Amino acid sequence: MSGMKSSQGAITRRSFLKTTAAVGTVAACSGLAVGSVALAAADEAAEQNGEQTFASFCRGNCGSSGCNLNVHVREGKVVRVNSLPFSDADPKTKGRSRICLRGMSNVYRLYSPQRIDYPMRRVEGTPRGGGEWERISWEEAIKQITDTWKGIIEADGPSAIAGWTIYGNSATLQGIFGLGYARLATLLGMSTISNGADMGQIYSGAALAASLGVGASGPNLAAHARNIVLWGANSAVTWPHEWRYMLDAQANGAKITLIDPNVSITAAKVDNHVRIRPCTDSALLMGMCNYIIQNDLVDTEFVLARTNGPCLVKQDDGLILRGSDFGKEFEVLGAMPYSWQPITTDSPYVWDTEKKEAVPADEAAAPALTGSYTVNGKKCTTAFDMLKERVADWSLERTAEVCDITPEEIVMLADCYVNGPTMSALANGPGHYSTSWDYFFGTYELTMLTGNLFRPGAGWANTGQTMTGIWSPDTSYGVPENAITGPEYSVLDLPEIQQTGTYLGKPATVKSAIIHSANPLGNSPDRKRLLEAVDAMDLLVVVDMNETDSTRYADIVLPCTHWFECDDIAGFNCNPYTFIGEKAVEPMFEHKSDYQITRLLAEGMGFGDKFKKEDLEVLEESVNKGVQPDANGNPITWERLKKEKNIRTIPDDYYDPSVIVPDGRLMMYWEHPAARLTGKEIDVVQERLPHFEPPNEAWPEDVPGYPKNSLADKYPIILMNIHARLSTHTTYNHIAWLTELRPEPFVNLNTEDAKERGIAQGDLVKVFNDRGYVIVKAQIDGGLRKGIANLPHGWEADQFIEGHYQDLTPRASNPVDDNECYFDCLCQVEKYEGGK
Amino acid sequence: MRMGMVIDLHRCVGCHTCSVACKVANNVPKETWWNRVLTDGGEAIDTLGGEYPNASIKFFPVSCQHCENPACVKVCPVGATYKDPATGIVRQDYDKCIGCRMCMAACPYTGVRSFNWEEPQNYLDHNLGDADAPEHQKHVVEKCTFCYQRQARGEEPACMELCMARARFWGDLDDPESDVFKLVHSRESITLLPEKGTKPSVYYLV
Repeated sequence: MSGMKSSQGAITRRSFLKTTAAVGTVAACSGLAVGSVALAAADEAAEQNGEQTFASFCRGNCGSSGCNLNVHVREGKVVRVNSLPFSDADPKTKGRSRICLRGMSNVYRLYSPQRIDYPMRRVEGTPRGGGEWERISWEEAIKQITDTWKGIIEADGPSAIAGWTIYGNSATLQGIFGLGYARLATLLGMSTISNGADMGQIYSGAALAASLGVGASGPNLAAHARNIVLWGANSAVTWPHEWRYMLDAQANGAKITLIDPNVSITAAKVDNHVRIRPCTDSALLMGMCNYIIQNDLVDTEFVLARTNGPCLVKQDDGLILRGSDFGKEFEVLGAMPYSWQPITTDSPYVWDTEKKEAVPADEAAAPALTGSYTVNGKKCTTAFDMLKERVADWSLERTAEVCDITPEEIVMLADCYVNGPTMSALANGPGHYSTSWDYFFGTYELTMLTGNLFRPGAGWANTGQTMTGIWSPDTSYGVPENAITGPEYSVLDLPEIQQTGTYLGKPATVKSAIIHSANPLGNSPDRKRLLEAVDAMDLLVVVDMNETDSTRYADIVLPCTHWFECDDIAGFNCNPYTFIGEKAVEPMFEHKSDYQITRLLAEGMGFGDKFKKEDLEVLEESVNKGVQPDANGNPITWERLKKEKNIRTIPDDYYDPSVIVPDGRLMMYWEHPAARLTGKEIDVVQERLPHFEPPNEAWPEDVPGYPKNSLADKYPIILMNIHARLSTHTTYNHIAWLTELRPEPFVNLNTEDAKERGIAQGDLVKVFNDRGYVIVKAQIDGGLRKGIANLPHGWEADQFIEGHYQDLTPRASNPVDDNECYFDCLCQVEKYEGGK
Repeated sequence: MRMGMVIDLHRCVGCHTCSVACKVANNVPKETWWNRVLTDGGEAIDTLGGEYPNASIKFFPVSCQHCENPACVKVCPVGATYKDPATGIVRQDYDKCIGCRMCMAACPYTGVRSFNWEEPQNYLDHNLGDADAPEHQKHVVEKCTFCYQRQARGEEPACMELCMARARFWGDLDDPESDVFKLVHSRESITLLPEKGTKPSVYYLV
């Protein structure tokens, strides 16, 4: 292996050294014949044992969840997990079947030493997080929780009890979308502590297109894309399942272009890499849009037909000129889910260049793309012109200066979009800043300007793959009669709510929370403030299968089943199939399914009569009531799912999803900007189109027009926590074989930054800012841009020498999306002299 | 017949799925890996070598190379390591192995073999993997077997079951109809340490 450092290394070197060091001490050879490898005998055993297999699916949040799993059981124990090939897959190529090291490791997770076996209570008089526990019965646990909740409801109302979840278990009956939790919450009128992770992406997709991904994926991408632009995506590592289609596209002649400040594993695979200054993606987008508009490279036909670009915007109020401005009646049909943009029959108007007057957009023979016109005495300008004006200051030179790239690179990138079909593969590299919204909105504008939607090989999608969207199970069980929707509080606001007793000027408090399918106290930003907010509660209940940073801080921990110990079906996932998740083994100790836990809580709260159904009854009903057919037009039924195990919901040549937008036109101009969380104030005029401004914090250098952040002198390094491949957030971070590959946390440093600080590979360092610190080992990573440190995401408190990386991350955000801004974080790194 | 593997290094993303598949299917003991993914880059796993912006990284999945001319077979004093004439697979008879580790010293591919100094430790209380996976023994050398127990059932080695990036190919290198034959004869490939004259049955497409 000349020239190759064996970095998996710890293992290679250790086992090699162990071997050589002991040469000459051959142990006694007697007795070595015990337990032979007799193949024939083993084969007989396999037959006799009659191994059973069960269908399941992966539910962690890699961002691409939904690998179909084959669970092998012998003598009542799971012995192996591998991929269950899709039912319609070619046996040789296995079609779109997939698996990864994390899904396979569920066999360990199921029997892990981290498993919680019984309901546990913090020993009275000991502090939260003190680690002193007593085992209690389910009856005691439920009684204590529901007695406390009843008291809270009487004193402060049901919204003082909060449901709190993130993406730990994506299924239908159990987990984050669990129908039991939804039913319990709406029966009681509980509040929700809303997670803000990835909300730049999730809310922009929802607000602008009512979808998380719009466009081609898989084989369609591979066959038709001419350009794939990865925006801050390390797809080869973070979304490896679908990465193969990018390579297929590349083999078919497509060019892959990456925009990323760092040289990543993905960078080693792509055709072009633009190394942008961190968090200047929206400036780059302004510059690209301007270049495309100024050089007549706009796909005019697409913009006129499919977007609100030609619609006339009244300059006095910023709203689109509509039939109602001429006194015409209209109906309100509904609203976009989530962002509540009204959907009406109030026709938008455009300027007809033949008739020389404003006409309903759908009746225009020759709609004008540009121009200002006076209609009804009001000055109106096309939405396209407003975008044109918004980006007009972004010359190639200015954009290049702000983004720290060359004008030629901007032209090259613009050409990638002009020479479509082009896929914008969006990721959360630029999605973890206060300015993320504008990056997502900007890529949407660019995609519309160049007509890269609704055609094979093109799109605007979550790291280049679209989501299951055609069929989904019916979820009405989660919304019972007389449902009460409680308030939604951002986790970022929780510390202020607990401190002030108000939220947006109104009284608010959280006296108790139930965390399930989530580990917010290990994953959410500004952890110390969050722990203080939790400390202000009377009762924190955490439901989990394994010990986590959140269970460690609970008052009562309820042990739930692992995926393989309960029944479920897939709900929302990033996969063109839907699945059944069969119960493969009995729970080992006192584990109960999430749904059974919510039944017990409901009984305790006096709603037992509304929770009569068993797990399988609810599942059967929600599958059979799902309204859309499968990819071949056949109904999806419970009987079919039981028999077929997985059913295709999206065909391979998928690229043209149904998008819900007002007026049936993509929103080049966001007429009614709305904050994700009701009541948050935003600058409506500014938010109707993308703009650039530096992020709240991660701006350590002076750039003409944008002076550096005032914290930068003290904290000159941007701290990122880039997703790694051995865990999905904190899930899988205690799998013993994976910790052999990566035994402990570390921070990766740029070569020069390390040298300047006298830090060498393996040195202990302190990473700190005003919010907190963490002590970890340092590694030198030649791929990091100077001024960037990376502490890969997913570690927990027990794995750090001292501190926690989420103690450093900020809560400051953007009121449009209340996005969690993990990378919008400045820090200093120094050699650590104390401790071990 | 000469069973072998072809691994496309451009497609490989270094995810370790093949390593974990191998580990679980064969109930490979703690701290032992038959199949590893080596980083050719920085000093630590998944870090890049060189200096920004000229940094680089590559991955090499490495296991026993099942050489056509295996150095290990020649040095085994008791015939415990042998080449299976039917498949070309380099196999070991744990019952014959005396734990001398001559094979480890002779093999130029450091780390593909390991020696069980102590009683092999399971990760969990029960055995994982195939019911017919080999029992692991103290004081023997072990390594990748190309999952002969699976082959005996007409199945592929565990690492070949499903590579996410579709970078791994398996088959008879002597069969002109096989994927591996076609890839080796149509694409540029390398073998590890060709100067050692071992003629590995694992080819890397570059």
